[in-house]
Amino acid sequence: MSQLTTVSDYALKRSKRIEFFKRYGLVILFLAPYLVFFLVFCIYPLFYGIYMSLMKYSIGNPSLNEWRGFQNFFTILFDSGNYYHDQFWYAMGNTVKAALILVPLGIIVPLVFAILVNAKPKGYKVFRALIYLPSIFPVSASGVMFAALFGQHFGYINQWIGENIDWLGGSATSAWFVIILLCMWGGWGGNFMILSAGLKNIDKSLYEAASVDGCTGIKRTFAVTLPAIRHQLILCLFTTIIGYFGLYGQVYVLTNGGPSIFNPADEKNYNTTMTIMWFLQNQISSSGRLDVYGMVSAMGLTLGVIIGAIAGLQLFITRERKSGTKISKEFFERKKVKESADNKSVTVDTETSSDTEVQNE
Amino acid sequence: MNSWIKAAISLIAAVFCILVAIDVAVIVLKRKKAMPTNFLGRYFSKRLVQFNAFVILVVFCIIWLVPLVIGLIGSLTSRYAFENHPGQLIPSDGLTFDNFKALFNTLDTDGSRLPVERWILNSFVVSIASTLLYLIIAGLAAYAFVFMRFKFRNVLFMFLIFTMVIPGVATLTPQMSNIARLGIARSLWALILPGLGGVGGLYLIRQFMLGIPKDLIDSAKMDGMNNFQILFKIVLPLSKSVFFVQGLFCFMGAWNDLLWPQIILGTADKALWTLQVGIAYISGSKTANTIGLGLAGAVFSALPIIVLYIFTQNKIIEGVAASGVKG
Repeated sequence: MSQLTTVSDYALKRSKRIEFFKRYGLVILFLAPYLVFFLVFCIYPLFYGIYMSLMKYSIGNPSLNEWRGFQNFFTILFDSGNYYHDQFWYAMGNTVKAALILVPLGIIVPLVFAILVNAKPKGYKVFRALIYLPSIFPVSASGVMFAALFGQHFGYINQWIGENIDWLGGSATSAWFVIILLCMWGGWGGNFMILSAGLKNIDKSLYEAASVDGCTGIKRTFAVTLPAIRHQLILCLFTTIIGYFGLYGQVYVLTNGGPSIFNPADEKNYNTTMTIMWFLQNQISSSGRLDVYGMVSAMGLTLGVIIGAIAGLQLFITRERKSGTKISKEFFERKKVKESADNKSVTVDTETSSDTEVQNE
Repeated sequence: MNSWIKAAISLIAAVFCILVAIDVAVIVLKRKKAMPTNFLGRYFSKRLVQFNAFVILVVFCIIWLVPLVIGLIGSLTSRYAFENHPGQLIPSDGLTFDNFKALFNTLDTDGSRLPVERWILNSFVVSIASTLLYLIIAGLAAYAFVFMRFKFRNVLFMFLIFTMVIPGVATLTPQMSNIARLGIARSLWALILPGLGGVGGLYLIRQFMLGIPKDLIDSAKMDGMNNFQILFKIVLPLSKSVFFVQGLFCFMGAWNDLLWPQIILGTADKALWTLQVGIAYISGSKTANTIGLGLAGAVFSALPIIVLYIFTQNKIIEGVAASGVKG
């Protein structure tokens, strides 16, 4: 008797296993390559980064590794006077200041030009293509062009205006001016495209209704156009903020940290155009120390938490805003379609499974 | 100040003055209902906004393209012209290709020759390999997420989307040690593989595949097609465009990337560098000697992207726009 139950159990198990592979084998085959790379290169580094940030970690020589607990984070966040603390927050301050200038510029200017292009003057497709062109450039290429424009002795701008300004090495202000110009030149094409697509998709009847109500010109822009593209505006706002927190290439190519100033208060040198990403990169590549990786991961994680919080805020806000009538209507329609499709496929599934059962019998 | 710079500035000022004058005139005439009925009158009364936009955009685009033109001309300017007559738009001794020739014979600080042709090859290998691999892997995964049913499908996808919030910088150093332990830190695989786990492209492809009618797939299943046949005969032909767009994004992203190759291979053998790292290195010292060289390198590194853009700009623009409309 017991023998019998075991056999039936075994048969059941075996058939279940076959069933599982029949059902999911192909799914696993399709998903596995992606998920392997995702786990190895996205999830594992995240957890390993948390582990690294709690250590004094050296990539070259693992025997130097030692456990430090939250010492690294404590140093970064509170240990005023420490080299890493001061430099990290100085770089962070620079980055935030740059973002404060760049983000409004990076939204408003593209918006103005999107509105201009959306008026559909002759050849607007050419203008659109030209305005987007610098955004696809490799940053090292556009950086070299700007370096040639703003060089001190041989630069074009100095020759044209007849001055001898050391744009990139002279003062923090002029260096940041060039960096910001480069960020503008090569950076807002994406925002421009997204906003002009949003403008293109505005329902024309909205404008008609507005003009019936006597709302025209500038008033219409603020009352109809801007609310209609608020999704695109929010998207642009957050992607721009997140993008400029990662400001690196422009700084690296143009100034590589830029004019360094001596701060008499703590008797240390500060790179005036140092951004946070440049500082991290510089610590890894140029500091000449191999045991700095734990500290750098801690800094990366701190920055990551800040950026992640901004991105999370974006998700939260866009979710809140998705309650307009048009969108809820869309949602219900989609839900209806989806439900009916689900029902249909469920019936299909049961049919096919009953078929296979019959065949098995 | 250079004389023709003055001329250019005054020209721009004049254009804007004329534009404002025309605007004011048209508005006043319209108020008085005295618009002339000839061709110009009809044009301006109907298309004043377009006319304004056109003029502003023309002026703006000319200024916008200055760095590009300078880059192109500068790369064709000889070292002699840079040293003796800097700032000339058209160099006095004519345009030469010397910089491009010299680029391939640039000497490093220690006197060895910089392997520029290897950088170009590396850039192409990395960009093409990562594009193709990502399209295959993400395409399969997107198909599974859209057309196959399995437990936790949506939960898994939501999780993937959620991880997009984690910025790359948080995993910068662990990724390095990860790469080192996989034993690929001194090869181009270090640039190709980490991108393959990206969620963005998968999301784009999945969103597109969701638009393919389910009935089509169901009827194909009824006809006895298996998943591979459905993928290759129905889904792939229908979603060609999104694969193309995502492929372009992948290629441009890999080609333009500076930070990651810089960090992972910046201290390695120079023969492993990509073109971007090399160009940034060459232009690092800003003497007359290297301005032309750097610009030649810049033109060189931007060339594939520009060619790609000229032939596919509609697709690229649509792709960028679509990513915003959906978001």
